[in-house]
Amino acid sequence: MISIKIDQKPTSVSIRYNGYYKIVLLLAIIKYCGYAKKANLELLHLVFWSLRSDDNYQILFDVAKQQRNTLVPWTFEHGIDEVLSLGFINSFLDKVIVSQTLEIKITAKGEEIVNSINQFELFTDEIEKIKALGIIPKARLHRANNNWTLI
Amino acid sequence: MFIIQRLKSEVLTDKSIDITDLYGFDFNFDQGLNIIAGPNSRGKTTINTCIYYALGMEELLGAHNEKALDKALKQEFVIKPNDDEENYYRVLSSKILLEVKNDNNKVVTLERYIKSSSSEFKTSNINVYNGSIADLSKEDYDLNLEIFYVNGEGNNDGLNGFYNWFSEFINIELPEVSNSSRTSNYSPLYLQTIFSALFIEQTKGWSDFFATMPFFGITKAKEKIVEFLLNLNEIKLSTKKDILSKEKSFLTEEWRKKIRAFSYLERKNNSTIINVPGELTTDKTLIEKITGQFAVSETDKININQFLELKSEHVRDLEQRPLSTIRENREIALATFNKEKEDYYKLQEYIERFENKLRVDSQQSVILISQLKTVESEIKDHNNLKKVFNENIISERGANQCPTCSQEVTVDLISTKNIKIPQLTLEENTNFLKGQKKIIESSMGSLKETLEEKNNLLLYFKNTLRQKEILLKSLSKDLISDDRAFSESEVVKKLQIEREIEDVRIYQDAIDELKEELKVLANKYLNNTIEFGKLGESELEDETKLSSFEDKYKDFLFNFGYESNVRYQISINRKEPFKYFPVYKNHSNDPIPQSIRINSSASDFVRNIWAYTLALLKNGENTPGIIMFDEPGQHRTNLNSLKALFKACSDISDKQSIIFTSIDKPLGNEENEKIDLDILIEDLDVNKYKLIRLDDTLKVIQKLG
Repeated sequence: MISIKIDQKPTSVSIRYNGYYKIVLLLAIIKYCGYAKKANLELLHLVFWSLRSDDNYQILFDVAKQQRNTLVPWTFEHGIDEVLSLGFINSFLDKVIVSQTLEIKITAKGEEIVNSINQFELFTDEIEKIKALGIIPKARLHRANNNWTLI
Repeated sequence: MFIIQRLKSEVLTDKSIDITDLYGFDFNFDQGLNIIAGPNSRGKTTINTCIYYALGMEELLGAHNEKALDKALKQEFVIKPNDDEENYYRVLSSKILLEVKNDNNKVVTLERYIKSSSSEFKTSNINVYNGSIADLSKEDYDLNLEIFYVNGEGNNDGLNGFYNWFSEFINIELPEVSNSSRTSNYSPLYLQTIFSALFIEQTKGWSDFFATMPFFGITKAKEKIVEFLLNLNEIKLSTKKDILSKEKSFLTEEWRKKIRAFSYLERKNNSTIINVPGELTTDKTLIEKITGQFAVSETDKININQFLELKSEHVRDLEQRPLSTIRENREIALATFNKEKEDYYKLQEYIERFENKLRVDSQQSVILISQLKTVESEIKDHNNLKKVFNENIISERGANQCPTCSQEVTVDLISTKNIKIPQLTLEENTNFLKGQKKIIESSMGSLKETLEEKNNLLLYFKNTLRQKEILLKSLSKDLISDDRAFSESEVVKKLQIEREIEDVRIYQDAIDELKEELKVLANKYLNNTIEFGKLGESELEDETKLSSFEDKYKDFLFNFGYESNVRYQISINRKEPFKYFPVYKNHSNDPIPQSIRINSSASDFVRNIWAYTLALLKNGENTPGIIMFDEPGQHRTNLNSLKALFKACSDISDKQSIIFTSIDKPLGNEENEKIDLDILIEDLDVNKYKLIRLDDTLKVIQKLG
């Protein structure tokens, strides 16, 4: 008898689909871009989108630095829901309601992680970019988001 | 080499009065032929599997550890003192002791537990005691114990791996062979695979050569085993061959590059280079013959020196002549102007096309650079994330269950509930990406080279275009200016010819330089070919061994009564397919050898396995020196064949063969023969075999005396 054995061949998948990678960035975004270490979903998605390419980043950077007040069409970040769930389960994150909208707050445990990441000088490229954006006021972001242009 | 001297099993049961009240069996073995005979279901297979187990070869039976053994030694067995009585015994603990002796007359006892009452003795370990089984029970025995593990990584090459120790004990050096399952691509030729050529098991063993060999990812494992057992040079040479052929392909590639450089020179100088050997050569004269040529008319070509001479003459001619005025020159000037103009446009068009192609290449390079950047940042992030886990900043096995609904939250963001995509681990993916990076870098390297070359060429083309432009300008000036003025175009022409001469000299130098480089490559290639040639000599040695092996095998085969084919139709194949295995050829020049299995009757194929295994035992320089046949009387083979097999085994007296055989079992052949032990051994010299006759009614497990 011939027995045929079939092996599943694993594929290479970008680290951008790794939940842990994203949670590190998520924590850094809340810590550095959110006012009072809180961030709404709009901000989270936008910063993740800006990290996808240099062009995207330049646009958000200009908005943050008041060089422009428009946004181009942008997309939600894939898998943020899972990443947020992971954050809540591991109590890196907390949910708070601020003026009737949901905001995500980073907990002390979550901040501890960002500090350790900085201490070991990990993900420096991404974190430097996030830091450079700095705190983006909600109102400014919201205004820009209501004002799309093509380029 | 080694021989088995004694096999003992010790079982402690629920009916044992104290720990010395043991059950089991105890047999002594001799060098040469050992026959273990008995009626069916008396425990021959139990003894057989115990030998496998004690030597850590249970994988050949298709299982790990004690799972390979039947229940009599691990759960329960029965002893019938007489026909009416049946006593059941439950196994509390059991183990096998196997006493073996090597070439240097060193005797050790291998102890392996089947069922152990304490966790101290694992069934995946083999304990090795210095000395014989009898020595162990002596009061003054100095406990000299080493423990080796059977399963797990490194069992063949690790310091505490059993096979590593055992191969050293039996004086065998396991060679490195290529292995597709290992990250290093190499592994030892695992001892278990070698034993599949020695121990033929009853159910699966007779179905093919080395049928019980476990899969370890060794490339062409069966070939490697034969190469190893017969001590063929091939096994050591294959790695060397590998290196040499890599060197050869490197040289070929370099050669190709140099040849390409010639065509680049050709284009740059608008000439042809002839006698360029396309293939790598070691012939110096062939390289010397390479030379450049210039076309002077549609059919005539002259070599570089002639060309230089022609041009110099032209210059001299112009120098000697007094400068002509435009009037004298008008007719010629007009013709030259038209011709030069045509050439100019042609070149311009060519440059345009060339530039377009170059732009595509440059674009490719830009894409590669951006790909490299992406891969590099991925690798960096992979390493970062690994460090996050290593430094325990985030636990990789952190909670991922929702505290409210207790649903699992996945960290793998690409798979969904319905679709699972198997992914590489961080470590594997990093390695994969590093490989990608290498590929991108190497294509970037070669692309850069071509770009440089092409840019140089473009520069040259543009320069030529500029020269033509100057000439055209002066020609057109001549055509419109006063007839009495001196012709400017002639001066320009002279200057241009002088420059051309200089260029041709540089061209000649470049060809010479390239020729020198080709010679260096040719020398390296010569060395490479010589090394390859040396390998051929060792192949000759191999051939001697193989043909002696072939003769031995065929002697055995026809001695055992093989009838399916005649002697000249059977041979050991030297090439793929069935390399080193017997094949059937219709006539000696038959280009398509066929499987011996298909071309033999069932019983003849069993004879094949007997003959092949015995020939390996007899001729194998690296053989462990033992073979074991379980029920060789398969597939209606006849009694005379079996008799011949026993005789052949008993004649190999310097090695050990162990044959398990049923008795009184009908062979099912046309003569309605039964296996009759008395007939089987009637021709054997009484001193040349040992018979272990199992009891006709009792099972093999009894109270130990």
